[in-house]
Amino acid sequence: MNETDFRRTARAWLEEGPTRMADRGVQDALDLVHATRQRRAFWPAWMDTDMTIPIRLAAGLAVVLIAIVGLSFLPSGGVGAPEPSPTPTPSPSLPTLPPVALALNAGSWAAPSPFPVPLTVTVPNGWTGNVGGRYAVFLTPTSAPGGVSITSFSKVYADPCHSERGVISPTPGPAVDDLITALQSVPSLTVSPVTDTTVSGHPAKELTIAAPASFAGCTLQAGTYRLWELPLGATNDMATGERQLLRIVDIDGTRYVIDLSQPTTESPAQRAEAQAVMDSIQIAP
Amino acid sequence: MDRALVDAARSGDEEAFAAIARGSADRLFTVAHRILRDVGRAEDAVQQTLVTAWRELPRLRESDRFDAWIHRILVNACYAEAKRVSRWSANVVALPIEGPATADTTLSVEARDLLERGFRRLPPEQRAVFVLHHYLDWPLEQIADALGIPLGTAKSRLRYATSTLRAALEADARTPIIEPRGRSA
Repeated sequence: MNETDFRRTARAWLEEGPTRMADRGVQDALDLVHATRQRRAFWPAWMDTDMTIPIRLAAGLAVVLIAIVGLSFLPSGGVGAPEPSPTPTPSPSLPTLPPVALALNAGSWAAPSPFPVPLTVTVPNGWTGNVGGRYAVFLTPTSAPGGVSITSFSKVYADPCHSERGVISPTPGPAVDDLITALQSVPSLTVSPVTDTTVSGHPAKELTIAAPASFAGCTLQAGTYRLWELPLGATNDMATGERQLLRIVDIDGTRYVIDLSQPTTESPAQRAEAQAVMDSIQIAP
Repeated sequence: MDRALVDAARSGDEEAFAAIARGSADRLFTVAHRILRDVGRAEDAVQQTLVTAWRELPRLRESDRFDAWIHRILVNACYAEAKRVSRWSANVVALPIEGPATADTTLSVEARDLLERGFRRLPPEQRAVFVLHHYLDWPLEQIADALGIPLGTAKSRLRYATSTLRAALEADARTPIIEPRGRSA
């Protein structure tokens, strides 16, 4: 294949695919824009690439100095923290998690509507988060594996090693113990003993689940060890040897799973950070 | 992009920014999709781009550089989206919103498959240069300027991407590629 043929082929391939973004996606972004304040104009302008290295260094130093001075006068929400959204939240003074995954400033955040539970969580720098509709809150470290989620679901795959066999039928009941029983019935999943705990004073159960160290012999539909599925189709997929610490709690008749993912590639420091995020979750009575 | 709209948005006019966003979202989405090869991730990248652009707009010194500026934000958002590790997968099969895509019928199924597999092996930095060059027809100088990288870096990224894809087209490797993504419940 000569250069011309390659360019033509590459171009034809790149031209395939969708060319329109869903209107809803644009509107979601504009809703976020409405809740986001612009940076002050006195922050350094976008640097032109024709700046010389010394000028760039000087400009960079100026940025640092301005940041040091400026941050001492800023409110605790930090630069770029979204202002509280107009939707009702458990803590009106807290910023609310966005509907799409965005970097979060360190501090406490509230889960806004449509997530139905008055939930707050505290994250350090370097985390992203969002509310995934009424069934999920996702919190993920930007540059590390793992993460924390709070989800509500009923569908559990009968055998994640062969997820093409579908979910457990009939669907587990709505109680905390119903889900635990379902997880204990999954053949290739290791489930720890269950202990009693509380989440913001709500009675809860705690357990750890672990995926097999190898997926040899699995058919792995879509290449994933698929454990459960949320109502809108998102699925919880585990990596080999991954552990997940679960706290399962009933809030006004709805079961929620607070899930701390502990992949094998996570460092002890990353694990401790994620654990702290999980432990910070508060659910108003 | 209409300079008056950019100036107004830079001064805090949300309606002006909404007009900019609606006017540029499809183009940004198309580029993000070509880089990320995933509709949901591309939409997330565009949303992050628009929010970041709004927040940072007062810092844009020259309004007529808006197009290059927002593409830099978009590419950075694509990098972040590509690197973000998530165990959540969305079982969503995305369909084109407006009829079938403009497929070139001369492109064989096999070539399409090999390109897709080869492209998914590229790091996002090489994907971005390849897409801007071959899809938007940007010359390398413009890409280097927009992304804030040396011209030599842009050239080497394009060269590596091209050699990888050419090799993919000429090889018969069929390693499965898996990309988890997530976050809608």
